[in-house]
Amino acid sequence: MDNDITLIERAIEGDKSAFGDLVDKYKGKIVGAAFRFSGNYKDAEDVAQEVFLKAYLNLAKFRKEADFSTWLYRITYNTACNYVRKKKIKMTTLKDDIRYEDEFDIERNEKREIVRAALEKLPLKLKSVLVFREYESLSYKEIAGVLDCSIGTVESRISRAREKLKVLLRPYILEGEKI
Amino acid sequence: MKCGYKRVISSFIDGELGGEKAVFLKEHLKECAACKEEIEVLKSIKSAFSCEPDYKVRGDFTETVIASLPERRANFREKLDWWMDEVLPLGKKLIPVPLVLTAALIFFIAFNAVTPNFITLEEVLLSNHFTLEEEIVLTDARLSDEIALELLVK
Repeated sequence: MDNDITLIERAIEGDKSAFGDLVDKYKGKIVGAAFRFSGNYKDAEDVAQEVFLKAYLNLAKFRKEADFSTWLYRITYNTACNYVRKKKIKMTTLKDDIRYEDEFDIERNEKREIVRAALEKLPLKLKSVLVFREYESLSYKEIAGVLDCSIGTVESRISRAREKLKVLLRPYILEGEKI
Repeated sequence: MKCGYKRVISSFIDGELGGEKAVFLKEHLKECAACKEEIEVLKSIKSAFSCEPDYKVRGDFTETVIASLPERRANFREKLDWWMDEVLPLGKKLIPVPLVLTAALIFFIAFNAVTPNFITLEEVLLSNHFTLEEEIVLTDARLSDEIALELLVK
């Protein structure tokens, strides 16, 4: 498969199949990230579709020195926030709405639901840094690039987010079980 | 926890704390039970996120996206943007520099073209095109003794 820059150059010229290769490469990440923000799978795919459309129309604005996935994440974050605002949907997770690669046991599902529920209670600024850090495994520098803020801000927000999570998850931590 | 290391500990468990700070924290952990406990709690929370599975994106997702794309062909501006980014990463930021220099040059040339080439009276006098009498009249100068004597001799 060609590298991203070659595919982008071809897509700028109107080659949809080249853009299709980019979609194939990044759809997992983008749908996953959209899911964390929109709260359910159906909305996540709608958001991801909108993200790729926006990316296609603005490919020439992509700066080559940046990472393409970081650029897509930034579009995803903005699109998902607008989508949620427009639809006025509450960012909650619907268990039955998720399709998994594999079956997970009940304990892992419960643990996942507990963490998700706590995450939903965080302000968007704190939630977003944790989503990018914990689910998408971005470095602080990459998160700063996505959210257009300093690394110090990312560091501070992650610390504050964990502090809040610690309070929300205290009942489970105090039970002596590691969540 | 009252140590004041919260922010540093959070970065530490993410592997984002480098250099002297990490060394300093490791030393601190040897004697601070509260910080050790904080690290265990944060690691526990962190590990809970790893339970998330990968999502199986709908099989026809890519085809649906492709079908929704409008026809497009890069216009001149887009090609220029892309090319500028290719050959000169700072191109866009530097574009104003030659523009300003060119404008300044044009202004300078135009200004000189329309401005009459004034010659001061002193320059004319220095060129010795006038007689002594003419110089006296033009400069409205008072006659010195030497000049009066010279005129008298003439």
